[in-house]
Amino acid sequence: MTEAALDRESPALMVTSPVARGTDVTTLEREAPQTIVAPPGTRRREGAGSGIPGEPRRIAYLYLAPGLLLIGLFVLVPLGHTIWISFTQWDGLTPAKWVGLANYKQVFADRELRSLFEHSLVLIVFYSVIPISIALFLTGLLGRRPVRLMAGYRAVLFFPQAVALVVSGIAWQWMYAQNGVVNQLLHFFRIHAETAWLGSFTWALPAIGLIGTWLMSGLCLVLFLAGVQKIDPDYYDAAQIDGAREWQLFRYITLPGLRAELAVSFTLTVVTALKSFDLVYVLTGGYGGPGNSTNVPGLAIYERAFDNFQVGSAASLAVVLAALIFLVTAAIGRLIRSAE
Amino acid sequence: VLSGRRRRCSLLADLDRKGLCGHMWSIRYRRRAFAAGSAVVVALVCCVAAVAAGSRATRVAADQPGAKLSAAQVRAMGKVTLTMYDFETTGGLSPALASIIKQFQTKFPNVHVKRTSRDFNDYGKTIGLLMSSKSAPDIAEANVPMARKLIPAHLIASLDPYYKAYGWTKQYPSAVLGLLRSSNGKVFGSGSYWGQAIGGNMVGVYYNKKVLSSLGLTIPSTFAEFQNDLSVAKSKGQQAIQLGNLDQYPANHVLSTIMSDLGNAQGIRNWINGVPGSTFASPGNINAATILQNWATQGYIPSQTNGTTYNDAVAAFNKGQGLFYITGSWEEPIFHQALGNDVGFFLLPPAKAGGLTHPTGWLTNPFTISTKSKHQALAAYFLAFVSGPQGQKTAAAGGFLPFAKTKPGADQTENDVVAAWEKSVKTSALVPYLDFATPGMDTVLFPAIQSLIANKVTPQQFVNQVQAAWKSYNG
Repeated sequence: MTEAALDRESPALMVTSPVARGTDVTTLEREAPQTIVAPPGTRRREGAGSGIPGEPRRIAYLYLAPGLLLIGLFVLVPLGHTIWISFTQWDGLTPAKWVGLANYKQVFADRELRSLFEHSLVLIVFYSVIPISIALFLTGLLGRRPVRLMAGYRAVLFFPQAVALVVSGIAWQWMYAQNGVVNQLLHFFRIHAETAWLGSFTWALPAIGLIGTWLMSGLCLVLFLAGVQKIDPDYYDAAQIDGAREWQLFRYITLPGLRAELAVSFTLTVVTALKSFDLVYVLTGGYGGPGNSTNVPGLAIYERAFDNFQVGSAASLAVVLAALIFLVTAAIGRLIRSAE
Repeated sequence: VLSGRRRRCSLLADLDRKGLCGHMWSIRYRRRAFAAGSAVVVALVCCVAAVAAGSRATRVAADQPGAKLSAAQVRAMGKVTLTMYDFETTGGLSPALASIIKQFQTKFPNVHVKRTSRDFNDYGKTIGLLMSSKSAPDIAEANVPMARKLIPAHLIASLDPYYKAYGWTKQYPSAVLGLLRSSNGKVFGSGSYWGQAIGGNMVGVYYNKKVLSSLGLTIPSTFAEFQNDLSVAKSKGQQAIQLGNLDQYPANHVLSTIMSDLGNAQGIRNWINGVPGSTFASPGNINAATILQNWATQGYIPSQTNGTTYNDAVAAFNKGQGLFYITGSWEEPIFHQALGNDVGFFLLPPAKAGGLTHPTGWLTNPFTISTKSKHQALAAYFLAFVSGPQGQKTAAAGGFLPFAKTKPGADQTENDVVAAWEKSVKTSALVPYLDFATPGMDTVLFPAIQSLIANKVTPQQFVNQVQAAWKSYNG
């Protein structure tokens, strides 16, 4: 709403708004929707029988229809189809055979699959925990101070998100090679490593995880920096007057103020870690090597469906993974909300 | 449209000459080729369809599925379009195919061959849908795993009548034909023929002539001598065998070469074909796995091979780092471009001097004919042309090993490869690629070989693991 619109449409505004607190017009605009009950004049204009604003009206379904239709067609129908396939044994061509829960039993009994989910856990540390920690630390440092060229830094940090993973994956493959940039850097620090990192059963998974860290840190930082902007500086001033230290400012003002951003970044990064496929595929030549040390559920689904012709088994694994992602997302949402 | 496609193909040929397509090539090669088939009912449907298309009586007669056509019959067919799908988007076969099609159309101006190429990954995922759709192409390229899918679904036609009519049985070495034959799409080795291929490929040992002579060595004639060369190279600080195995499939070529060279070649063929009772856990295979692991332990293959890409290792070999490189015939143009005639080729020598060596090798990815095709006989005639003398010459120029005899050229390395190939074809010594054994064999076998190289599993554990995967498919 523009200032003019506010004046015209909401004559009651000046009375109900917290002018007494000395808020300027911008704050008014922000708070207006919550504080104002629409004046009688506006309601009449909408026509009789439309009810109180905010109450469900049938017309709403018309507005929802395009979105619902798209989601239904391209998300819900395929999802239902996948669930159906997961109860069958199907090679993708000849008629499918109904096998009930057999695929699921197999998924839960497969010990090798468990190790794939363990790899996902490791990736969550690298995709989620580390980037968010780094981003929070940097936010604490940079968030409230004017930093020269900040826009430039933000762009650089966000850059990994803008590059196709296949491209950056190949670049990282070079860097991790025996004579790659990583080992050259280590040599500079007098560490003489001869390891080709992606070929090591110990280091390949952390090496791939580190790319996730590189990928996600910028995203989280941009989110948090934006979040800090909307925390009222008065809080910091007040706390400082009360003698709060930098750590306390961060702990009791910044962190709670970033709750929504934390929820978003945790959800995004954990989901990315769980469904990771592309990086592993590109960096390990498509097989999650060395051995199976970097194999992840996403890659296993792909192998089952397109290499082994076990579409039913692949679908059941996909459903399990989707359910897991759904649970984790819900849990994160709940955790963050309960912290309020 | 066609001329545009051809231009693209010749561009790719240029790229390949510059050695840029080598990697794509080899990826394609790890999943090798195969073929097509089906039933009387479908054949009847095809006849009806041909009549419905309003063709002249003579054409209906000539275009019966299974019929052998003459050039005159093809010319009398009137305007016909043959559709063809393949996954040769890079490497030498793409321009070779374009050129063969052009030759065919010049000879038969009434036949238009409409070719569509798709990237291998997309192709493999969509081949089932494509072949089961109403607009299935007349001819489709298919490797063994794809054939395992298409045969039971009755989407590709049996080529038995054409094999007989055009004498294709005599064209291929009998050891190689096995994987073109199956009665159910699961067990291969006998039964109907499903595919027809343009040429072949084979794995052997490339060596750097300068490095070999600087080490005071000569081409080994027994496996023991070969191993001795490895230890000499190692002791003099030279990388004995260059190998980049981050991509996982390259070491498979090394292992299968040792296996079929020292072990039981027929046993391995049976195992690949899915013959009941076959086992990967044979003493010969365990011995070969032990040798490969030992090469890794001794440092004969690079210590960081699992973390080095195939391309980087090829680049190192091309810079003179490394005495041997065990890989396929498709890599010859890339080695030769860098090292000229300084790079030679031999087959891994047998245990006893003068014995027969069994290299890993097979056909290029074969072409199959759709059961839905209205022009099955014409499609077969086209395939006969492709594998005929003129087609073979073009394919050989495209870097494929021909089944017909060719004259040696200026590229000595290529002459080495072709000579070894011709000998292997004549003696039916070839053993197909191990990952043909089951649809997902690569996803089990390749990671297991990396573990074997890294000493994470014993040779016995390795063969057991692979055999378990074989058993879960073959029962």
